[in-house]
Amino acid sequence: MTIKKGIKYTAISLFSLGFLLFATLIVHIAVMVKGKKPLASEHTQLARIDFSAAADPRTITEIEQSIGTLPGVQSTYYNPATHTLVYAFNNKLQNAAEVYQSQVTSRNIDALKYTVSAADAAKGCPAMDNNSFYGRLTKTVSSIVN
Amino acid sequence: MTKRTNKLLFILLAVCGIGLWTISGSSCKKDKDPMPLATTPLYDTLGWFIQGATGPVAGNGTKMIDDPDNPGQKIQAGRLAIRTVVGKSLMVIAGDTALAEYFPVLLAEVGAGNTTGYNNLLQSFTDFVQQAVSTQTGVYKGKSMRDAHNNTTYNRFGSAAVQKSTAADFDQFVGDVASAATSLNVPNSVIGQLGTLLYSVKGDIVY
Repeated sequence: MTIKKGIKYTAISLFSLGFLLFATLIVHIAVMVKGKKPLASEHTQLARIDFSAAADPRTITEIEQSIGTLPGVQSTYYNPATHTLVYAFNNKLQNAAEVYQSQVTSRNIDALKYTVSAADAAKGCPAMDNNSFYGRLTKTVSSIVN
Repeated sequence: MTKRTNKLLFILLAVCGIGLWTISGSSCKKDKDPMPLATTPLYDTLGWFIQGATGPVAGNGTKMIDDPDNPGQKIQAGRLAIRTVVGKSLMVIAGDTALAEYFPVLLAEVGAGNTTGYNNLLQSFTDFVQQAVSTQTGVYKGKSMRDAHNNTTYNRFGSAAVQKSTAADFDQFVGDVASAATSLNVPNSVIGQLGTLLYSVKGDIVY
């Protein structure tokens, strides 16, 4: 066998092995995610409004109650110690900008719609990292087989 | 195409075919007849509590009941109880300015698609607590607590300047979980056990 042939067969072998391993990964993911039901609360999103310390508590209560009645809003939670109002909503039915506009801006109360900075968004709870290669591949395969 | 190329192609396809057949037929096969799920008195108590706290406690943790948030699907009663407490805890944490820096994903959309950071965290956190409370294996698939809570081993946690959680922040976190459980009328004895469980990993997070 010439050196040229040796290189050729080695290259083919390595390519085949690589292809086989990648195909194995795809099949493994496909088998595991096939028929997987949607996650609970898949469209649930949290949003937060930060009130100033001087804000009238009665107005805040009013706002909390009013937000609670909006379509798509699932629950509300007010932390009086930090003057923050958190609410959970279905992001298919509602969005935080509209809620802030209709409930806070119109009342002329001193408050801020909390937004996460890009730097902070890049951090976060360590229990999850769906942006990894495997995470993205799983999402892609899942969308194909389901 | 030459005869030699045909031969090579045939060998390549045969190898791949055998590999795929072997893998899809064995190693990835889902378990159709699983062993009974592990449980503990605490997991049973949580399952019993979420079903209205009536009748005997034993066996209620792993009992499959309707998932109120996912119509048509079943869920272990113990897991549902844990997910309910975790869900409320995440709201309390999101409203806690001292902890928000650790959980920005709670209040931010996560890229394309509609799945949110809240949802991912809810599942992951629930998996972790379920595994710890029930002793079931393979539920939580994330990083170890020590690796996950150190910026040098996981760059999404903290920053180069603040690499690990402080003891005060960890206490605040457990306090928020306890507040959430209290607001859901979880008995103090159960909250105490959950607190003990959370503190059992403190050494891996604050060191």
